Amino acid sequence: MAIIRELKVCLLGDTGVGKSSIVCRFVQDHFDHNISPTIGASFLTKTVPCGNELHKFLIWDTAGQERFHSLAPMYYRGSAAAVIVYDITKLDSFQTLKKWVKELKEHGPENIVVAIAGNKNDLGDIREVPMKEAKDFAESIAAIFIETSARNAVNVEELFQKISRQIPPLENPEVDSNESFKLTRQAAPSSRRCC
Amino acid sequence: MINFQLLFTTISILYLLQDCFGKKLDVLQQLSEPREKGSSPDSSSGSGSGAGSSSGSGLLQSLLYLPVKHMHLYSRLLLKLATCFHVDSEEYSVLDEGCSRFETVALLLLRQRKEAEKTLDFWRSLPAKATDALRTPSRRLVCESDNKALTLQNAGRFTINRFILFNDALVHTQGNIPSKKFFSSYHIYPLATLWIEPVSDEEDGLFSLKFTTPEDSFTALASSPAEKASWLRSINQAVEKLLEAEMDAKMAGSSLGLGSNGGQRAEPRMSRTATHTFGKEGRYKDAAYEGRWLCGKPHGRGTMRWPDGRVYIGMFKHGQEDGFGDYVIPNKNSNKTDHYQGHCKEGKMHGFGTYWYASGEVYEGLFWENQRHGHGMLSSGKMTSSSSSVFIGQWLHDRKSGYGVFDDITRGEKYMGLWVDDQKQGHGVVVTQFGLYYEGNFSTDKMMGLGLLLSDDDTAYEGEFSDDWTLNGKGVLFLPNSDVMEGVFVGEWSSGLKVAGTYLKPNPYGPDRDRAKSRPYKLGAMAVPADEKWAAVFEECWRRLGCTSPGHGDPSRAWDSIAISLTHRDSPELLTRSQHMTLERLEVIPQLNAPFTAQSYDSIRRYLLKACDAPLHPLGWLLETLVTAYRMTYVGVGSHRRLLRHAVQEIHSFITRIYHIVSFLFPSLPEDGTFVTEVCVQETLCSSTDSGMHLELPEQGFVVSCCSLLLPVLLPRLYPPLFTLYSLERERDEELYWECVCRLNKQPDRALMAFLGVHQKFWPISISVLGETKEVLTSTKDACYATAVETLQQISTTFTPADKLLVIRHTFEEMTQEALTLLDQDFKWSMDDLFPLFLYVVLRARIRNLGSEVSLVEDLMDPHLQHGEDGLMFTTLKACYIQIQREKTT
Repeated sequence: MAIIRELKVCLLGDTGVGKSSIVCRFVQDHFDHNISPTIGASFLTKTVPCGNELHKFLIWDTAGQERFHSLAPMYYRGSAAAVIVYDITKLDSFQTLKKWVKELKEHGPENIVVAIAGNKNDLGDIREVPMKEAKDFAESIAAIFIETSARNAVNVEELFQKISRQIPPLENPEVDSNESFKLTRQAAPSSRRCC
Repeated sequence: MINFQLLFTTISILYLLQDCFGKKLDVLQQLSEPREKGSSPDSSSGSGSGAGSSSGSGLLQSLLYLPVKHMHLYSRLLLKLATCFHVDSEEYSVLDEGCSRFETVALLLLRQRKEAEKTLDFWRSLPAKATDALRTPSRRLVCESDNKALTLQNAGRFTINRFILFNDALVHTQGNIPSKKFFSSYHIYPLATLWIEPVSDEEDGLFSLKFTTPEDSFTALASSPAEKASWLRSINQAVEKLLEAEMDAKMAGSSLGLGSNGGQRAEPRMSRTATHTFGKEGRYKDAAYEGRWLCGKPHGRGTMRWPDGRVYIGMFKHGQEDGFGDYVIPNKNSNKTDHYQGHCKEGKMHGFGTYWYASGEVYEGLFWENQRHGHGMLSSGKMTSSSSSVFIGQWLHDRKSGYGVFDDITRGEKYMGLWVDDQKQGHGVVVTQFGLYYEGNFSTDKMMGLGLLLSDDDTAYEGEFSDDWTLNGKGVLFLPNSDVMEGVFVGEWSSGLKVAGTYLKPNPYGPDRDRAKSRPYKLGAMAVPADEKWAAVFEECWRRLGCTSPGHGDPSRAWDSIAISLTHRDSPELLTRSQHMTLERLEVIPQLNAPFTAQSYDSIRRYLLKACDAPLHPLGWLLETLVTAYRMTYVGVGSHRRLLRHAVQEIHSFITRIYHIVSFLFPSLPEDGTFVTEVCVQETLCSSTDSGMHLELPEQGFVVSCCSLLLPVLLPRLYPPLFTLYSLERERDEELYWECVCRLNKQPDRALMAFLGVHQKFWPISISVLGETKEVLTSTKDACYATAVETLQQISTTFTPADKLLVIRHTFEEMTQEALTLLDQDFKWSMDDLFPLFLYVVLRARIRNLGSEVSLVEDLMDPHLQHGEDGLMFTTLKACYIQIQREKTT
């Protein structure tokens, strides 16, 4: 019937921009929501249908503090997509975002889907990052762009749907009528060491 | 019993007298007078000196029989005595019994005397000279073919064949009619090693009997069916009687004498114990065999002794050494002996065995038709394997051939590579005790051709070699500071090189500055691929499973082979109780039904754990041999940091190849990495070991993985050498890490948490120590998140990546528990909060070789876990390890 594809998604962005709030919102209120009691919102999964495939997002949170910045490669290694979150009320967080984009382009996995999410859209009155500027930037790097509000659950679902659509479908989908589900995984990255 | 013995002696003496036909009759008569009342043993001394005439012999005979005649008197006397007592009294019954016993003895003696007389008559009927050699005192005639016609099949027209059956041997005489010499030649066939069977050819009008002896077999024809039956019965009875007498003698010796059960069996044992010295030409010429026989052939346990001193003690089959045995072979050049202990087949060393050479070398491994062939280990030099040069690897017709590891103790080098005809030939790797690493080509036992040499300080040379450690030809020298020299090199590595070439210093700000860091040469390209190592070990395992080539065979036959090897213990070592229990439990073969479930997976896992503990099990043997090979490779000089990649690849290759065997034994086991969906969720399945899988509705189940199945049996055995390699490779950054750990740990809890950026809401206000609640002060140290710290410390006590991941998971659980006491129940971790706190826990845990632990998990963990929750938790630990090294500021 359907193929389940496991897709690793990495969350990047400054601390306090609401990375985990977005995914918590995304995962909540759904029949299969699953928040691990062990590490909370640091790791979340959610399966969404996309065409004749099922995309199971394995969402990895990262530490946003500046001092842990250099550890990020370990987290985004093998990711199919990266969501870079910034706070529309903080210009600094948008500057950090630009750094992330640059790094991903240079060192990130090939063909990684980059999505830019301007969070705290509900606080438009204290906005520091103009939507147009962000959108233009996103277009210049061919990234997905969306402004979200984790608090009001605005555009959260859409963000992941957009990512889903950007993921190239499997070239040779083996749809076996006898098996109801088939699990495929991303190929493990060939390099075993990153440092 | 005394009487029994007495009779034998008497008759022996009688024979002596009769044979001698002496002259001093009167002396004898004189002697005989006082002896009339004397005890019979005295008479033996008398007869030795005495001799008698024919009349004298009659006298002596009656004289010697006198005590025998008294038997009747004794019995009558006892009977008379008995009448004095009441019939019911005890005395009466004792006397009565005594009386009847005397009667029995008397009867027995009478019968034996008759037999003796018959034999005597027979001897008399033959020319004394010819039969001298045959006449032995205790030999009795049973029957002969003169009165019961039996002749040799296909006998010549003019030969006369006679068969004479004695109580201990069958004599076949041949003579020819014209000369009337019946005894011109004869063969004695001891009954103990004579087998007879009737041939069913009566329709052809023949009544033949087939005789089998250790070195001869012939067919004799009886004149009628009755004759045939009669001979068959007589011979069989004689054989049986003889064997029983021998058995009784043995039993009496071991004080278990229960006597024969009287009833004679019609068929004598086909399998029996006997002694024989071989006479005919062949391997066994003049060798004496003692042991079990079957139909004329040594079969079963026995001992063969050759006149040149060779001795074989062990199992025989159809006349040849076959099965487990022990050879001792005197060495011609020294007074020491060669010694072989192991399996034999058709008279040759074949199968697994150990050979101790007189020279002190020891070979332990597989043999094939007397040659070292297959996997084996040869230790030479000193007797102890700890201080000798050792070769372990593949043999082909007594020569090293294929992949092998040679630990050369005299040169302090270890070679791991290919061999041809006892010489290093082809790709190989050499490491030395001084830290050099060479990989490349070998020819006629020397480094030859293209090779790559690395010294401990990361100086590397890639180019042509001509003699061991001698550079000769084009090459590139890479210096540790990434300077490069390219040109023609000549000279020995350790004693100065002549270089004609260009020196290159890369521009530190140039575009390829990154490339300079990563070396242009590739390690492992000229080494033997892991999948090609130890091929003979796997072949032997497949062979033991009854397969001609890997995977080609019948699994049910393989299970039969396993059952046989488990029960067929022929080595003499005793098993401990726990080993017995393991073997018993292995008798149960996991029955796997059609749908492959978590239970079947679990039963396979448990079966493997047991099987790998039993060296008799083909898998157990495989594992044991691989572990030995692995340790021989990576211990000692092989404990070299550059060998880590080889060691890891070897483990991966072991897993794949063992998994192949396991899935052959359990055909329902899915391929590695298959996701098995389960219809209903089983509580047991979702234990923490199956972490990383989320029980979301559409995909309950588990992943079949060769790592999770086989690492638990493999890793605990390979862990020490492997972990040493990891810590050697990680030495430099582990040192930095440890320095930082020590420095940062000087701080009290609160200061450290503040330093690491742990959010204040996670700072414990109070901690409970032994049930007492204490407030956390600024000076409090090693108290916060103590349970999580202790949990994480257990990572060093586990072997498999799965177990280490479990430890990490438990650590996070403990952290969450503690954090929950500080915060409201609705709290959820985000990495921003979690990471600094986990960093604190990792620092406090002070794990000595964290870098090695991390690398080991990374290399060997289940690939399907790496993007899951376990993967994230592991990545976080790894990130902490990296981060700690960067925390330079205090």
